[in-house]
Amino acid sequence: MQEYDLIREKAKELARGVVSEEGVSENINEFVRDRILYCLDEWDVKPIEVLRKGRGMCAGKALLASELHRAMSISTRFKVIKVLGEGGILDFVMHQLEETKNSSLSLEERERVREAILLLPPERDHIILQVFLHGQWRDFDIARDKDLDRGMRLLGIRRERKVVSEEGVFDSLDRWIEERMRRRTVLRDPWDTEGEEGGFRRGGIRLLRSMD
Amino acid sequence: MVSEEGVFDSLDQWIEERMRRRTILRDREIFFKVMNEQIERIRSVGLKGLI
Repeated sequence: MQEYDLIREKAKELARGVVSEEGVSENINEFVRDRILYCLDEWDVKPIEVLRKGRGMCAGKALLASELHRAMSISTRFKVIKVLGEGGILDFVMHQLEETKNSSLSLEERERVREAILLLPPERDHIILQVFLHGQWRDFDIARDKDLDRGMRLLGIRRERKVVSEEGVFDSLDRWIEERMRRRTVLRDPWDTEGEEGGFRRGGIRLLRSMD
Repeated sequence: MVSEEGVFDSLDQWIEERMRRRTILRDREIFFKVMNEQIERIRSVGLKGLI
């Protein structure tokens, strides 16, 4: 089966028995939000891969949801925002790395991960899906699945996104992702001189913004 | 053969760069692994509904 056929089949399955565009959209968004589990990933993962893996980051999940909507002739686009990362999952992981002694990681590996987190800039790129319903664009943040969100709440990890700025609205994320991959992400080849913007250098390794 | 990458009197610098690239790729892999393991831990707390 062709890639697009798989997405169309999934879209049809999610739309079965639903009459209104709003209902179809709700089913698609719920499916992508809660059944496609949030994980840290590359920015350029194709929607079909996200569907197959059942996991994805904000961009991959928004792209998949967009394809599913478009397969049902519902218009979508993408809003790129910058959010503050402070107090979120990265802070929790940092704390875990400091506390957990019986890790499978060597001390050196743990230190390198800690350093990578510390050097990330405070502002992170984040993708919001916009769906055209009842004559207007509506925002949907479908990145975080409900179990992860509940876990964050129970563990006292900050869940609210503090929006710093809106970077723009795009019909397609292709060009944005291409550019984003050039200035990606956690650890990058220090010899590569592209994508300095938003980057940090230390110890020969350039660390750039990432998540989520 | 796909391409010629260059001609060098000494391979020292090339090897050093090659090793550094390999280390960075491995570090990326470890970073993603650690982050996703922790995300999974948080999710499991949410799934069970307990700390």
